[in-house]
Amino acid sequence: MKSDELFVGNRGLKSRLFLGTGKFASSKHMMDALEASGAEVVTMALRRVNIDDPQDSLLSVIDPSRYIILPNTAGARDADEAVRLAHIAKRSGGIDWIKLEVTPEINHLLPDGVETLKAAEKLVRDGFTVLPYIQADPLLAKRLEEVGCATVMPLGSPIGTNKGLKTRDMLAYIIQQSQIPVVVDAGLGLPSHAAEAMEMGADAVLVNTAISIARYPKNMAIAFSKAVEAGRIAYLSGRGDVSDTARASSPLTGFLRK
Amino acid sequence: MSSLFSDVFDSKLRDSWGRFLKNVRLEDVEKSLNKDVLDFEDFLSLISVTNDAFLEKQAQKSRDLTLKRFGHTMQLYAPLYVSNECYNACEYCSFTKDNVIPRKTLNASEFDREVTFLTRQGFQNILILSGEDQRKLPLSYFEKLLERMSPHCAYKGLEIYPLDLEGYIRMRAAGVDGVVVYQETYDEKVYKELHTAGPKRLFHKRLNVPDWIGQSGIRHVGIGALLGLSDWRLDVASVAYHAHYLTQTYWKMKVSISVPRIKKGPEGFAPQDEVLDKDLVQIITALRLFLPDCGIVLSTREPENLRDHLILLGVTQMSAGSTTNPGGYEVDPESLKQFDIVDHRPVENIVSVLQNKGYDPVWKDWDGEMS
Repeated sequence: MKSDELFVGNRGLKSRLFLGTGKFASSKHMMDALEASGAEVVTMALRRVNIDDPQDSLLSVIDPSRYIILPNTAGARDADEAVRLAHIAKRSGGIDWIKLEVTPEINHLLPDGVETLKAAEKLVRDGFTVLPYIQADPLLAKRLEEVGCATVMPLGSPIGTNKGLKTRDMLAYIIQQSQIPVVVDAGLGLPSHAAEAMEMGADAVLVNTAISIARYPKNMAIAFSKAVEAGRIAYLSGRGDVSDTARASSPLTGFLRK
Repeated sequence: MSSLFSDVFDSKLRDSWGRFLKNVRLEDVEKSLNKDVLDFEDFLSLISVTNDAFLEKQAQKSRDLTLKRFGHTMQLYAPLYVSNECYNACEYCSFTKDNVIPRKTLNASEFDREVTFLTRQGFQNILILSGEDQRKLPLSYFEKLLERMSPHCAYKGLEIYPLDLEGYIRMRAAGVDGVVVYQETYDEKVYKELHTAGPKRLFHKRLNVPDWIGQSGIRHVGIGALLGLSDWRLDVASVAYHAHYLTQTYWKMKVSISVPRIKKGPEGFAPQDEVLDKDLVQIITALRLFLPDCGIVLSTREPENLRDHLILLGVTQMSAGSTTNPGGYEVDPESLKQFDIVDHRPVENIVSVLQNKGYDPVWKDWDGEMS
């Protein structure tokens, strides 16, 4: 198979699995999972790390020459807070990739599309590579593409629920229409959910809770990595349509070409 | 058309919960426990006397849900008492104005020493506490403290006398990330008996304080009842109802619940209801199942062994190595304490307990620059 790199912003990625670093029992558990997963993009919450401190327990274990650190603006309640958090990352850590999360709603951490779009416009203008976390809203995805986002990251189901692709139909529309990579984020609880997203044509997936709270996070990371790869190959191989009616394997109009 | 908590909560409602609690059957508990999303009546079933048989199952569900929502993490915070001046008379509290002993209020440099002591240990989440005396401790005093601690802290909390909306807007501007205010008890009759002098006498006024915090746009509120002052089941039900009201009304504000038990107080005071260890387990796990994303806070009032077990069951935030008197860390260890700490282990011990249990201690969960 020829090279199948994913381009986000100006970076080529071999792995289509992005890993979140929250909820692990320790930095060691996280690093073991990260290395086993083969992921190249690692997200971390700006509110959790001391971005300007090389001794920070999370930052100090991740080698920036091997991994792309993707800080997120988790905790931001509006566009202004998200923009300010992103600028802290840029100023203190020299990082200009940002996973934009505006999640004012405390219970399900659902993203606020209106504020996300506002923040995205500003951050793109300020020179950031912006990867926004959004509801599976096809029109919002197009609007974010228009303002210059590097990807869209629609949710499969709410963060931490492990419910899989509850937004499947809308995700399919986003994937069909998008001219930027679609990274399915949030709610992927099993490797089969990740494989399903990749089979549908998602460009990548982001996984955190399912790996970090597994009994053996490293092994679960391996399982997700294989599922993502399998789903991707299946997609590229031209998967068959799912149909309710039986279909003859010799097409009915084959005789016309004889 | 904003409503206040006193519009939706009164003693009649509380009485109706009392009647409901008496009639819970074992099969009601089982049904509630099998649901994914619990309503308030399910919550009442889980805290009922009837629910004894299912406590283990409830604990398992609570642990799983807490892991899912919060992961293998535990937030650490430290209380920093700045003054024991108080103009209220509360029968259960050592700071009560009738207690004739020397009072202490930290000055700026003493405050700095205490902050340095805590930040050297790793704390970035610090809760400023004081007795309630707005004349001796004006808002400008707290503004000064907040400004001084700001460069060193990721999160600045406040547990002082209640303010009005304007006061909280002022505190938000001064960099406060969260405010803690306990109702103490939601039993109006008992409340009035226990609070005999000072502005705290006014039950309904205090009931609405978290509304002002919500309206001010402050990010985080902590509420709670001092369990044991009145019937604990009804007080826990009231706290849960209050938390639920707050998360619905102020949907951008994070709500945490503390579950302090009062066992003894100043001489002559005895709590009305005893909250056993198993009751505390029932309370914490029922709160988790009813309010999956709610913070649950555990202080050093509780003994070591119990704290170590509760880590697994639904608690999301703990204090460690605490003192409850102004200057208690370095400046004036002998000043008047609010209550006795039971778990005296230094913070490094708590950190290793957490790590041994597979929990990552979280020191920082917000950014000081954002306040």
